[in-house]
Amino acid sequence: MTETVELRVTSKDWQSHRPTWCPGCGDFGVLSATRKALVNTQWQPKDTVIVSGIGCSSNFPHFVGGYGIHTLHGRSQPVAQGIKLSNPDLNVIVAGGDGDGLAIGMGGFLHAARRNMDITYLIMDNQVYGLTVNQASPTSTMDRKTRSTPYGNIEHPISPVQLAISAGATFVARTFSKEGKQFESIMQAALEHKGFAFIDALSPCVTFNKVNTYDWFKERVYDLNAPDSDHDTSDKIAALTKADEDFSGQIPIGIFYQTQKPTYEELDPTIQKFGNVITRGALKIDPETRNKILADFR
Amino acid sequence: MLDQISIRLSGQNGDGIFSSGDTLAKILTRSGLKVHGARSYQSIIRGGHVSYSIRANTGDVRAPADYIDVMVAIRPDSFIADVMPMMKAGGKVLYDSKGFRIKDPEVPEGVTLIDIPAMQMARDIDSSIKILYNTVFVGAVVAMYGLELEVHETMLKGFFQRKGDKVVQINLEAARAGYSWVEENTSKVEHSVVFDRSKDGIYIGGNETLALGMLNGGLQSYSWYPMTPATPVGSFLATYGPLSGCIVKQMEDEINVSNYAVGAAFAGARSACGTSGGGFALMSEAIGFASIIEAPVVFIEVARGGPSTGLPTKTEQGDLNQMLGASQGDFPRAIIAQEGIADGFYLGQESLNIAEKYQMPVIIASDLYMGEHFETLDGLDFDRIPIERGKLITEDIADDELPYLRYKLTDDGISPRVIPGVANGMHDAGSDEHDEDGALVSDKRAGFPEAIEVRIQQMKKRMKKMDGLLKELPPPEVWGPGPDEANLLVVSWGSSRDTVREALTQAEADGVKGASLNIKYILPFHGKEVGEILRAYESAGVKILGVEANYTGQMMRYIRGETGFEIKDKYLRYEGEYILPREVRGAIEQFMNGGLQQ
Ligand SMILES: Cc1ncc(C[n+]2csc(CCOP(=O)(O)OP(=O)(O)O)c2C)c(N)n1
Ligand code: SF4
Repeated sequence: MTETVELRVTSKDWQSHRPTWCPGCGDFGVLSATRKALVNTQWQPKDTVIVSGIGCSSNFPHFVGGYGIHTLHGRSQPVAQGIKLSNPDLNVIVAGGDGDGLAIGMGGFLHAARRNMDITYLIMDNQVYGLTVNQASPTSTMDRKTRSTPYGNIEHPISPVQLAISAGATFVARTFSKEGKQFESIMQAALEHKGFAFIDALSPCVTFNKVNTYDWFKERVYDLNAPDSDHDTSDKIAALTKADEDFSGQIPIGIFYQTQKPTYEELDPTIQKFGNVITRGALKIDPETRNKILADFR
Repeated sequence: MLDQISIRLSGQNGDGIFSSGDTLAKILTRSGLKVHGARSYQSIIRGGHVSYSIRANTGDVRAPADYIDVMVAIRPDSFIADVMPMMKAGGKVLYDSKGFRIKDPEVPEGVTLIDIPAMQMARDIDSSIKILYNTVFVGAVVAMYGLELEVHETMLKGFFQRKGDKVVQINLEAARAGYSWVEENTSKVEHSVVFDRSKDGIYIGGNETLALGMLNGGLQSYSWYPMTPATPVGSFLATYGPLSGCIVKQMEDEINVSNYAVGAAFAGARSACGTSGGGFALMSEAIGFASIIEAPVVFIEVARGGPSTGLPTKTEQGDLNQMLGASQGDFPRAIIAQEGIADGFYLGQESLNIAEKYQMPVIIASDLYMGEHFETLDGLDFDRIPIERGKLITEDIADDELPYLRYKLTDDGISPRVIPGVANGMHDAGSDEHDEDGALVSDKRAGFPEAIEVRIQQMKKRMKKMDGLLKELPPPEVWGPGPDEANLLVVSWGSSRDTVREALTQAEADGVKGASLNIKYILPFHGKEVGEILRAYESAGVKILGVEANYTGQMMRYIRGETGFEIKDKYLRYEGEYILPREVRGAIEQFMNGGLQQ
């Protein structure tokens, strides 16, 4: 980790493998907006780790530059925390699907939010399980027919935005993969936010979700942070209320809530004493500490 | 005249049995003795029945005492659970008939009852401290063995100083009261054990030595979720980790504990996590994950009695099958059993080295007895095992060395490992099968000849690491007489080592010439060497007995699978209590004289 002359990072630096998604998949829009936001931050790809779970959307790290770790289904959050705490100098981004983050990974998501580590989490929300070919997900709307709900979905969808706010995330937004400009600026704000930033990215599955399509969203989304909007992003209750507008009517997109709290890594006793333990190195217990520990066993 | 010290404190939760036992064990340690301490308890916080057994002598003491010479029996239940099964003629019981309403307790023949009004004495000193009577009892035991009161006083001063001078003073008075009462009212224990206050050891448990060893092995990340009996590893590291550069993270469940550990390892931290059997079941998927992305993680499994929630506070070696079977598919990993208290200290360091050198998960197999009993150690060598990180790249990769391939095919199967932050090392680590560069072969490419080839190469590359590791691990060694002199070979594993060896030493008096083979390195396994040992003893006419703490003889089945040698006779224990040397000796006696009855 020697210092290199840092050249200006361009879009090319964030390129990687060609995406394997179906043509037209919402995740393409997420990818290009994310790359642009990354260029805006001027982060070094070598200092950035993209963490994902399993799903179509979780193939994300393979399509973006930087270090990537494509973990298990639902386990991106704990892996990301292990990375971030060990080396707080890394930029850590977590990406995955609504099944990955809200079904199997729900516990990890909520605990990640409450810890407020400086991590950005992006759910590519297509309201369906894509990779396992069309089953209901926790954000599938009522009555939706899928291969696991052939007679119609009879479970109520959950609101990832509300969950993130109540669990303690300090930046919570929703955006839409076709709103490139807004996506880019929200993504950049999330990346630059110090603390746990969550984005619910509406990202249609063109293959399996024939209800919540691009056109369906285009008719409904409106900008929560438009100049004439009276939404106060520092008002937690207002944010929860806004997020309560379900998908049967208009759909607000934009930043719901933002606040500042100390991050976990700022409070951790080991990091407070030693800083980055990776750059410190793996060392034996120094003789003074050794004696201090052993004294407790005499 | 007794040639060793053997004490048990027995009472219920809330009597302060554990802290009194610790105090007594440390008094003995500070008096120059080697102590073995073991506790018995239940999964409740108040009431129930608990005990703390102490055995001490001038030489190493590595197994629990067969019989108790001095029993502190605080509660009526103490007579049923401890006095009756653990005492014989000559033993002495300290109890307080009035204070704890114990009338005409039943004791084995020849056991002396000493009725000491500990409760009243404590109340006379200070009636506000409810459990002061335990200090009175400890003071009495100190007197019974002729230990120096001053050592007890120093202990109490150190222990209670943070609670203020008054509490220290009260406890000192209580200790002195118990001590004087014995001096004035009863005869002491006659023994030949010599105290030497110039000697100074540490009194420490198996979980703690393992944790201390890992910390000295440069541990930088430990994640956990509380579960008896692995909890002390986590609490030790939560306390001392922040003093030595280790981040300790309590997670929300063991699934996330283990995946956190993988993330930390990926970032370049020396990483470990720990749990008991139930939590380990939840870690299963992450073990295979660590293996396929070649992330070095140590997984600690301190077993309790199974199945399911099982016997949370009792011991068993019942999780071997689970450890061998954890996670789907074939993948390289090591399984190593902790064999002793001091062993834990070195194993903690060794396991991290193996994990990093071979870039694979290492599972440490321990159990409640191993982790939660204590011994006196003098001198741990903090410099014996160097920190070895294997093929780790932490400096930027030069442009002319590109392309960097994270999963590069090499002769030993180990590819140079880069950590995030290093320029030119960027790659994707994937839980899917991947090529040398980390690119997936499980999606678009799967099924094409090129992808099939990649799969075969990567499987072979990973599994090859097992061959290298096996060569590095020390082959098994037999303790005791060779095939020509022995008449018995006992095969055991992990935590059973010292109890079995003590039983074999005792059984010499019965004409047994016993050897012991205790398995430590379970995976990769020295199948050839173990097979040769077993056949050598068998063909010399030596009888072979398996001893382990589970119902089905999991290790003996494993050995059969790996060597083709069947150990037919087994002494198996699964009721959860730690095994006493005399019990193994009894089994040996039966076995040598016809057959085991189980
Ligand atoms: C432990 C485990 N259970 C189930 C699966 C199968 N699986 C793979 S992806 C997936 C769901 C994908 O849905 P989502 O996370 O919404 O992502 P999408 O494919 O829609 O982008 C499931 C159930 C798995 N890989 N691992
Ligand atoms: S199945 Fe749906 S989510 Fe998956 S790649 Fe295709 S369009 Fe995208």
